[in-house]
Amino acid sequence: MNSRYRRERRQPPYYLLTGLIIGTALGLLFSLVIFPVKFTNVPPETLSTSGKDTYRLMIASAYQYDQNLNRAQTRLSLLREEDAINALQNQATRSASKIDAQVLLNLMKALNSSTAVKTSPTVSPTVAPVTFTLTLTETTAPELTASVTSTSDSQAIRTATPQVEITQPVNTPRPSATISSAQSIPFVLSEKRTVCNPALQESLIQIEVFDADGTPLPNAEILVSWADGSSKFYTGYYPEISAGYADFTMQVGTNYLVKVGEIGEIVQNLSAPQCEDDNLPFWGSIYLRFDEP
Amino acid sequence: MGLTFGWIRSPQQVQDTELASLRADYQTDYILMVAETYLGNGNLEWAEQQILILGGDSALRSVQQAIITAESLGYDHLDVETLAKLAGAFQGTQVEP
Repeated sequence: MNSRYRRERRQPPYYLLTGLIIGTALGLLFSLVIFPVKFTNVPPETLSTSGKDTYRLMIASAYQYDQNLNRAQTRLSLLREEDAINALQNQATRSASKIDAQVLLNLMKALNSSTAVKTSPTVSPTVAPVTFTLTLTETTAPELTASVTSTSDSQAIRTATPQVEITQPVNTPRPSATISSAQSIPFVLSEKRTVCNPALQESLIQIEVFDADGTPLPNAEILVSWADGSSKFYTGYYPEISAGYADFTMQVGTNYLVKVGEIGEIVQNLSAPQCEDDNLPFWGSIYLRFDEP
Repeated sequence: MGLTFGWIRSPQQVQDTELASLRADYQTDYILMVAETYLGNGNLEWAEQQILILGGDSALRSVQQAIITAESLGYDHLDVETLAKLAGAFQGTQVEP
């Protein structure tokens, strides 16, 4: 290397590569974070889970007041869910509000009944014309499979309302035994005890319903009545407690009657029991366990 | 390259959208559902909250827009009337729920 002129090594054009990387990173930053693509004019089927929940609840709320089942079904079909009834039930069980859950379950029950009527062999196969007049028809073809339960679904959870089993629209329909409805199960009271838990701020009738296998049964209809009123609700509101659990807040001094399903054992003369905690009296709760015989 | 990926290549499937992105006719139906519920429960504050989810500045304006859309789409007059009752309630008119 005694040369007078030292030969400079040629550097590769790293600056081009650096520019490319920085440019790509900036592009991704702009297009994914700062100015992400926003979709407009979308149909309900593309909504996020929370958006669908809001939409579904609104459908159920509207049904609660107009009682137009055809319209509710058409609206639900816009969400293009495989099993709209199941979606209603799922949302009801994770609903934060009891009222919302009840509204959703009411629609679910109506849809179940409607499906039962439509698939009953004693009913004429002629389907009444839908009177829905909205012109939301561009991508709204109702999915008939949305309101049925597949017979091949071995994971199906047994629910309290009538689940009608119909076959998929294939060439070889086959009859199958229907799951018996919890409505017609003569549930019996197997446990009744007073719960003195000062952490409970209200006096509750805590009800848990189990099937013959001892599995908690969701969506079992419970009727609580008292001298001048009654309330109907379903198990499954609190899956974190039990899928077969439901409760009702008692008014102190009022006598209540509880019945599960339509022909379950009637439990009468229930009222808030008196409890004590460190010699301080408070109103306790009652736990009732009903089992399928 | 980054912009191409982020804006064109990546969002191939339309999903996880918000209620505010719904097409006008679906928004109109949503507002109709709110109106139907309002006529049942009479809770105007709740109705306003539900409509503002759609992203408008004013619930009244959204309902008015829904009435225009409903009429242009040929909604049943009872549905338009239901929307009009909600609009009337927002305007301060007392409507018997």
